[in-house]
Amino acid sequence: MPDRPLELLQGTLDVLILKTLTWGPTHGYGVAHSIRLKTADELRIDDGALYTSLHRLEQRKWVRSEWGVTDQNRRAKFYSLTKQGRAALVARTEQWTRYATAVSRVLQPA
Amino acid sequence: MEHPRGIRRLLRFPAGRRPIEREIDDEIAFHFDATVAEFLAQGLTPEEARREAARRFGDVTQVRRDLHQIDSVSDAQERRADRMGALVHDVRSAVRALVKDRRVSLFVVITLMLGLGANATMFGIVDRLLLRPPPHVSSDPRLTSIYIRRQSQGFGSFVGRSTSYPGYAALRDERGAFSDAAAYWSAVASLGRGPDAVKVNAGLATANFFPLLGVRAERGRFFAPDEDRRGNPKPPVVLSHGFWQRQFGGDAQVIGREIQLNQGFYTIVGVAPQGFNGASLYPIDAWIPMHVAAPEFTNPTFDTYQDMRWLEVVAQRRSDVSAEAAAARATATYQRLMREARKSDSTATILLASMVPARGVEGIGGMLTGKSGSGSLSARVSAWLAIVAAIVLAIACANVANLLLLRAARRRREIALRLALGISRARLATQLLLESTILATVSGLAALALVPGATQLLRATLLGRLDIAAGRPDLRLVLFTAGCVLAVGVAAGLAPLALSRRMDVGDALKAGVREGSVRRSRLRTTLLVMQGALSMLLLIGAGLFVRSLRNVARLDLGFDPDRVMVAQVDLSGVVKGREAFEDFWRRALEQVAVLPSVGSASQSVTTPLESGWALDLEVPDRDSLPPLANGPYINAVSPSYFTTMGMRIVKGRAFTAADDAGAARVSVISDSMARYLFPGQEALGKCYYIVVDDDNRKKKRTPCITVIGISQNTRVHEFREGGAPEQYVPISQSPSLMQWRVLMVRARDGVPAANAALDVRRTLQSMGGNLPFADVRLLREPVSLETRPWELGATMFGLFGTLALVIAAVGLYSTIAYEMAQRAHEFGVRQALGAQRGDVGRLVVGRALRYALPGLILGVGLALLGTRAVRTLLFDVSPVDPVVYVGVGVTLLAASLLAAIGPARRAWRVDPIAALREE
Repeated sequence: MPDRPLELLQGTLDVLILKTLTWGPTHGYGVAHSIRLKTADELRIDDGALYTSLHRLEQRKWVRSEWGVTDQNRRAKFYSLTKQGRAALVARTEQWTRYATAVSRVLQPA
Repeated sequence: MEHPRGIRRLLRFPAGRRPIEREIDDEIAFHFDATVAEFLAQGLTPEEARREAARRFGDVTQVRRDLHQIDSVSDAQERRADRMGALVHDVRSAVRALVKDRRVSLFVVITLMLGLGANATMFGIVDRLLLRPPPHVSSDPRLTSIYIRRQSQGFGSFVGRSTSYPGYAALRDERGAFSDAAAYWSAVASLGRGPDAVKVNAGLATANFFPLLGVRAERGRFFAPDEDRRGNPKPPVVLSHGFWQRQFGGDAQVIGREIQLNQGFYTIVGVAPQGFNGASLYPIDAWIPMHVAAPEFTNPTFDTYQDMRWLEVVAQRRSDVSAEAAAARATATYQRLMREARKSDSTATILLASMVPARGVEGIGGMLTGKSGSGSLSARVSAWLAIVAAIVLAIACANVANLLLLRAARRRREIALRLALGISRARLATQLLLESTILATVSGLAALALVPGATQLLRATLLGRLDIAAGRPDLRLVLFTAGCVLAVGVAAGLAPLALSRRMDVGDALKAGVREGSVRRSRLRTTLLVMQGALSMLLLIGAGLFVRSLRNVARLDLGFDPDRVMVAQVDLSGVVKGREAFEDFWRRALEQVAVLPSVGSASQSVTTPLESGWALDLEVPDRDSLPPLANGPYINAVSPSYFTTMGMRIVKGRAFTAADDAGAARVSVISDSMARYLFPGQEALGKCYYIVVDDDNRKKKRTPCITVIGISQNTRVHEFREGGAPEQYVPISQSPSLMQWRVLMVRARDGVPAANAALDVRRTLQSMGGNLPFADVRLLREPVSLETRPWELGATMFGLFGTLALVIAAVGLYSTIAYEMAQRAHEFGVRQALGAQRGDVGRLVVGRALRYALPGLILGVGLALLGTRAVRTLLFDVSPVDPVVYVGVGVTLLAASLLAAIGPARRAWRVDPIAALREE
């Protein structure tokens, strides 16, 4: 670990979760695990915050949940992306990219 | 047990949910287990793995609390959505069921539409007439109409509204009771002179009348206090909105213009708001100041004259005085004044009545029976109509409940199946109520659409000249109808509900194809009997009024109302002196009598049914004559009067031109007068005296008047009773105080009376350029005012009675048709066993009678009780008139048989083989 992990920007977690779910339905642990893998622990995410986010997304009907059974035959709550969720992800991704491009354009040496 | 949500929705199972907390705990537990397993796999000790997992998770307690909050909200949202979804689903399936059963639904909607439409219309009218103050009048409870209860020996107490000017002034100045009081009166006046003269209803009002009622002028202003004074050289007039439109085309420039009303000239200063008619609903065309107009319109000493009771009074009670205290103070003041003036009113009681007529002095009950003098005929009729309309709605409701009951019976298996599948009874109830409410709502909307037309119709036929807006549905009407719709929906939906409650699911499912053990339901029978009884009641009412009306129409009035007209023109201020007056009428008679459209014409002092003169009589050698309730009446006429009126001279002769001022005093008396003056004797050739006040108010006898003719009894003076004693004297010999004149004119045979009336009016009007409006009316007009109560009764009971009968017959038809369809199998068996068509027909008709007869008997019972209330409204008909009862009974039976014919035909057409094979 080179530095302390980066603090998460507001709303970013939602996009990360939605993105993760595009690979298929999974449970909260699965979401946390793949985000950690992808970001190589660069981002500091409390697992608790992840669940709060997931439940909020469900309330907004961007994801839906169903109880199912894991490979290890354990009962777990599986989340999957809804149609609205997919649309929101597209919109958020575009927003994020524009934001990131703008910021990096300023920061990059001319 | 959990179901995937989709299926749960599909089957409409009650939503069974695990508690939110457990779900959250399970989810977090799984996460911890998985994380710990991951760390263990990386080689950490169980202790380290657990610590690391907890670190990664963050504040568990906080997260749990957050999750719980979020999920609770989601959960509530979801429940709401489920409920809405269920409702939408129910509405959809109800609509589908109703559309599938198109015929029944249509029956129901039509029935309810008629019932609701009748009630909405009547509510609109009753609301306007009885439940609110007149338009534009403040609803301040302290604003009151003054009524006066007077005791009269031998006649009991009588409530009226009129008082003399001094009486009004006493009330106005009673500052302990009232902060202010205003007086008003209405009179017919002539607008303009000569050929363009127009008849108007003038409202004479004190200047404070308008601010007291809280009304504002639509244009311009009402009167200022200093304009309402005697002799004001430039008096104001305020036009009604309607008159401004009619007469002046709604011209905005009209303010400031001068118009002539009778003899006075008035400057238009404003236009009253639309619909404003003061404290009543009778149309007023123009408002003029009381103190300016009264000297000319009534009497120069009107403000000190105690004998003329003419003014109606509205008053504002002081806010610090209770209504009772105010009434007591006003009564004391009023009685003191009357005692000082030695008037009969010294025992009168002042009553403060609300501006809302229904809360008037005698309330609805007093108004319905017409016991007191107040409460207009139209208001009374409307209140009765509203009751009748409510009965019709009750019948419609019963009928609809019945139809829905039948439908429910047919759907018994469907309902049982749904109950077996686990639908809750509450849910089933909602669905059944929804169906009836949807039907009621559709009917209610249709009914509202009917209201304007129906109101127009009633206004034209029943309500006479009342000025009420054309029944545009307003908020109160819509709310009332919505209330009715809801009540009807629940009432009609409850019946099938009661059925489903009693239903044994197992039995119903086992019952088989014919579904039918619900052939006879007590509830259904009750509803049918009730419908029959109520229709019977209304039809008996109709019958009694129709008989009354026929009796009235058959009366020999002593004149011919459809051929004879009365023509009058007000000469005050136009001709001066007795001679000029007589000369004018002599010329008028000459000119009118020779018109080609006129058969004959004569002069008369009084107008039939509108004015009368009674003078004391004395007979030589008789001490005194017994007192009469009415009359003895006197009229002075020119010779052709009897021919013109169509009045028979039964003995002796009529007047001739020779019976003039210089000749011997003669008279023609009615048969009843002959018996009154000379009982048991031959009246012809006898003589009697008329007693009159001379100019010094001293009693004086005329010379003895010889009876030269006996005329038939008439209803010229007393329409209802008839045959009041009457005498006629030649106009040239009449007592000098009888200074009033009209022309009686008979249209020539073969000429339409209306054409003759037009000719007469034109002729009279052209007799002088400065004449006020010449008024010519057929005698039918005052006669129909007299016969209106019976016409109204006959029309309203007839209309609603027929409506009720039709609705009841439809109900009977559908019930019997249903029953017969249920028993098709049985009929097949009967026919197979040798029953004849006649037997089957008898069976069906027997069913119909079993519903109709109890209804008939119950209806007669209700009628015997109910018609007592209308006894005073009938004419020469007993409230238990057998002809009516039998006639209506036969009608009801005929209608029931008619309703049974269709089903009976279908029953005897049943093919035995097919019916048996069906099982």
